[in-house]
Amino acid sequence: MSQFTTGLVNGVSIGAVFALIALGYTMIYGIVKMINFAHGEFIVVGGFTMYGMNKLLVSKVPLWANATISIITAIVACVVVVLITERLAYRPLRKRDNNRINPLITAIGVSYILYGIFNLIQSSQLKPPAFFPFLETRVDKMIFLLAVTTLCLVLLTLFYQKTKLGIATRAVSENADAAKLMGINNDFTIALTFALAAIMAAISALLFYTYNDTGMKFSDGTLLIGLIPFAAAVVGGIGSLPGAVVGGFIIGMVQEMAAAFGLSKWQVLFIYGILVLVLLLKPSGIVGRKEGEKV
Amino acid sequence: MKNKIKKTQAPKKHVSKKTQLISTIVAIVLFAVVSVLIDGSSSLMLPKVFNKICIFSIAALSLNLVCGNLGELVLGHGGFVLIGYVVSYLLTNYVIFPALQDSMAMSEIYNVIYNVHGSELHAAGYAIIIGNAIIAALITAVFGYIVGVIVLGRLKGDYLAIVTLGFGLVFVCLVQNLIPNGFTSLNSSSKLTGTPMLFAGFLVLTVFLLTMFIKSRFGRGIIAIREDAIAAESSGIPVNKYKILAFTVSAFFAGLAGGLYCHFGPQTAVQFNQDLSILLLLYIVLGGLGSFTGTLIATPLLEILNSYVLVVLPASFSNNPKIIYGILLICIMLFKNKGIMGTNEFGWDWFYTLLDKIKLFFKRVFKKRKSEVAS
Repeated sequence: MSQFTTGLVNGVSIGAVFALIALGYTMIYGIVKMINFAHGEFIVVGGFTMYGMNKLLVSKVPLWANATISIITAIVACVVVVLITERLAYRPLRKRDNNRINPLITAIGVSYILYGIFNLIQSSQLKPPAFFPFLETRVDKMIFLLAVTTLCLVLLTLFYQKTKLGIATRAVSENADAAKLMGINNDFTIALTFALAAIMAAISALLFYTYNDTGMKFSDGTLLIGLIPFAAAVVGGIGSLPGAVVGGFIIGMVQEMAAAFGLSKWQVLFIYGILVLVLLLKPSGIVGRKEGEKV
Repeated sequence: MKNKIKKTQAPKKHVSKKTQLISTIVAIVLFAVVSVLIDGSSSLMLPKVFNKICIFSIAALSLNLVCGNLGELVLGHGGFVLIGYVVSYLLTNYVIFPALQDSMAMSEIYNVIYNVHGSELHAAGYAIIIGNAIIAALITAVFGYIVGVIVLGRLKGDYLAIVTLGFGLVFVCLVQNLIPNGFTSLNSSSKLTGTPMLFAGFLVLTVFLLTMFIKSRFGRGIIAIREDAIAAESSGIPVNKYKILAFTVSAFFAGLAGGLYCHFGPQTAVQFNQDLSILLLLYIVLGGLGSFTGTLIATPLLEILNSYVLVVLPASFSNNPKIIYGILLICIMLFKNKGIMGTNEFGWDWFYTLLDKIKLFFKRVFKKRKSEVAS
């Protein structure tokens, strides 16, 4: 493969992973206007559970059962951790004041705690479980990753557009007080969004494992798995679902093209350079819409 | 029968000029005694920790100016500290050393600047380090001004936080790639440990200048912007200009901290990434956003925790201070979200009111016990 095609295939693959992670960021930002810094750690929770479950079951059940059970456990673990976090750390703050700095700092705190716990338990690199032996080449993997991300995006869009709960969620993100007056349970809707984001996080962990042969370190946490997709979400326009996907693919492409052409040392510069540029030219992101200033 | 003791608030005290003067003199004498004790102590750890506290306090104070007083969250402050560090490093390594190398040997230069052998610093060494730090601070201020002009007019709130995070990481990446062998050529024997007074002096100067700044017209304007940007604009404060000013001043002191940090000991560029920025944020959040006094209380507390308490714990814990930082951050946010000091500043009025409060507290406890005994 030439440099370009390598970059393209890898870029689309990691772009799909980034897009899915960015969806998690963007959903939470859309509804509570909070940057969930701990999302990267939630992904690690999913990955950790998946790895552990797989190791427990590996010689006892066939691969398909192993994969199914591991993935479902990971999703459940993610949802539980996220809901506990939301209940204990985010909700009390949200009730108390609508200062924008405090939730962000709390999210950083949550991220630090989870990071610390994982580093206490396991700080060395873990080889990912191979759930999908039929994905042999990079192109196969790319198609698989693309399919999963597309499926998730379609399901999420259907949920937000067609179901009653989805419409309620959008109403809360438009105007929480008015939504409350219309009889929508704000806390439930927000918790639901967090749970959905947790499911996305678990699936992202799966995709990350599928993409990355060498596995992930649990100490990578926010820096590697979290910050770059977060930049993707902002580039696409944080708060918008298609924006997250567009941003994910752009950032993934830039990162892998840089790597393919031997510039991997400069990846960080390119990624955050694009972030800074987009924010300066169009602060609401490529797809996002502009919010008027309220007095 | 139980007496319910009425909770009385200690009245706010106004102390006379004379008391203030005496208190100030006592405080200065105390500070000097402590400094001399630290200076003369035979322990190697103590001056090092003290120096580190001074440097980090300067950096945290400069962050507090933007986060606390201006009210904009900055997540890339480590980048500015890095710029100061790099400028200071380049100056020392490529300007001062070659200039001195004509007349003396390398080991002699180290002796002059860092005085590896004795405990007294040469006057020339002082001059070099001070000049170095000030030039580093000025150049960082220029960077801060450029970033401020680009960013502050267009973005605020979360977006500003993100973009500063991006700038911080970009600086780290640039330095990593442009100075590929890191800062290794700065000899590791050049650790400056014997002279806490130099760093303490810079800290005192920083506190003084920042307090003057925040009490000036500009400082009041900056605080007005924090309270309500729109109201501030309509009362004639040039919001954007003041924001850029605050950003530049903040970058200046961050660069000063970086310039001093360079002489403290060799670091790597990665150490200035978002972890440092968030550590600084932790200091100011713990102390109270918008209170310089709070920062000056919180930084030593956390630094002492880091260098004395965590070392005692098992290795897996002491290598993972993040878990403790995280718990601290969340506890502050949930239970005392104003930090130790809120937005209060130290003043003798405040101090004596605090003393009264403590007295009242003890009296109450004592009375309670007495009434319990009586019943």
